[in-house]
Amino acid sequence: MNSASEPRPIADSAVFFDELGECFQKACAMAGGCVVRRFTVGGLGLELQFAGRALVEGIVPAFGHLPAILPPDQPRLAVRILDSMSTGVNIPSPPWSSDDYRERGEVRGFNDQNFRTAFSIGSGVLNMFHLRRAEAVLWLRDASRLAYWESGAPLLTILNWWFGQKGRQLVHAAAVGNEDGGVLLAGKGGSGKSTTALSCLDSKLSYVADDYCLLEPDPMPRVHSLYNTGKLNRDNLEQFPQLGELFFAAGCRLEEKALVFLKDFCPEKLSGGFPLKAVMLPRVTGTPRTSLVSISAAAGLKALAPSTIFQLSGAGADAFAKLTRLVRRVPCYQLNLGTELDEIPLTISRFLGGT
Amino acid sequence: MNSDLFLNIGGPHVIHEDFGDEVVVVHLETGRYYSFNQTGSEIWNRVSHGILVKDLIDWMMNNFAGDAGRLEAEVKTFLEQLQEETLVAPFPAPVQPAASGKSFEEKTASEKAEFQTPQMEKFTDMQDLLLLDPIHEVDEAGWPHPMEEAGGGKKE
Repeated sequence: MNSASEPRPIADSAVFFDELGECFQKACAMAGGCVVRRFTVGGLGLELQFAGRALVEGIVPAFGHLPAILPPDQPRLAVRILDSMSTGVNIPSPPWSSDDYRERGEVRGFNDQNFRTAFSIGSGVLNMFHLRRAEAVLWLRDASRLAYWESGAPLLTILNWWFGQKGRQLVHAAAVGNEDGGVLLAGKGGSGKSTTALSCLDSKLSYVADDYCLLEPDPMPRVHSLYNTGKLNRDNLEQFPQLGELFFAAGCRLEEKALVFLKDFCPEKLSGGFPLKAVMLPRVTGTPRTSLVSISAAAGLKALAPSTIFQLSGAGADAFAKLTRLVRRVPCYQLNLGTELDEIPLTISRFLGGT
Repeated sequence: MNSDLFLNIGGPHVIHEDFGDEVVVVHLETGRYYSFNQTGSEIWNRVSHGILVKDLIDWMMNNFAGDAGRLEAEVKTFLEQLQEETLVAPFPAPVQPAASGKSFEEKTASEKAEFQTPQMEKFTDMQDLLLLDPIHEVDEAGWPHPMEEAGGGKKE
């Protein structure tokens, strides 16, 4: 086991970012070329550049439901994605010490007015973002070890930095609705967000997200789809047997978190987004009926803001302000989830029909 | 608590929003968040602009009816809680504190609201999200191994 590393004698974000860029070019050459995928997300452009194909299947499917073009005349983020194992290209040693890893993976000394840098020790993923150039790099050692949560919600850190710059806010919430409007489903893990969102697949409501989505708070709040991932646990594999079949057909194992890409299952149910009419906080009750109870904006903010801010690198006062504007503009409700799953989308539909 | 202390928000790690009857406060460094009842919110709103403790107590006594000794003790207890949570901190008093002095209009007994004990509700359910992942092992270049490779198990 190696001891804690000492930083290299460079400590400059710009130099390190350029070194990563050079590594990406070498990795493309070594891997036989650069694979490019382009998407429109939240009205903005996202260009994914892969060094070889090793990470394409781990990252692209979550975005697979989005328009595969760059929107004209709109800002664009370019993300260069590489791993060392498949390309044979190592990146330089970190120009920081082991003591510089901070909360949410942020790297002390490498987050300033021009750069954002975070390293996830949990997944071994390095994220670095050049704010002014709207360019980012994502690296991990071995593409075959990409964590399932990085496949389900890829580039989360980089996208949060980018969208935050553009007046939007990545939100830890699910969203369902129809083209006239929908609801944001907020709450920490286990609160019932996924169950609520997945229960709407067999209804007239459309699906935007079950865990993360993009909020455009101004001038009137609107939510955009980011990933088409559906996340299942053991309980709702039984609740949603059709999704369970898809999961097992993909060769997944029950000990993993069950991820399904809904574009493969029900593409017609996926929505790009809609105006937001309410924030709802799901709560598992164990009783048969589903009901809605009005709650305060403060209660809505408490469910929405901490779970978003404490998960996402760089989220702070600006994210809090955007989420505050949201709960001041739309009503907040507690959604008491019944065990009769059909009632959940009916309750939401009735609310949307009545607003 | 010393009545001559000048208190203000503890720093940029504290963000807050006032909803009138409830204030929501988030501590960005600890992962804790809070809400205060209406009396706590009144206190917070004054402290968040910077105020001497004695001026705050004068203001509270002018606006709330009740036993003066109890009011002072409970306000000071609440301020101590805020300080323990590093939501507020003492600062050197400005020469002319923004909210210092009896600049308020004296209220009659009938105009005063009944004093309720200021209360803080503290939420710690998100703290784990801010815990630093331990570094078990690094490669030759100095990059930490992911937790699973290092035998630390998968992250939620």
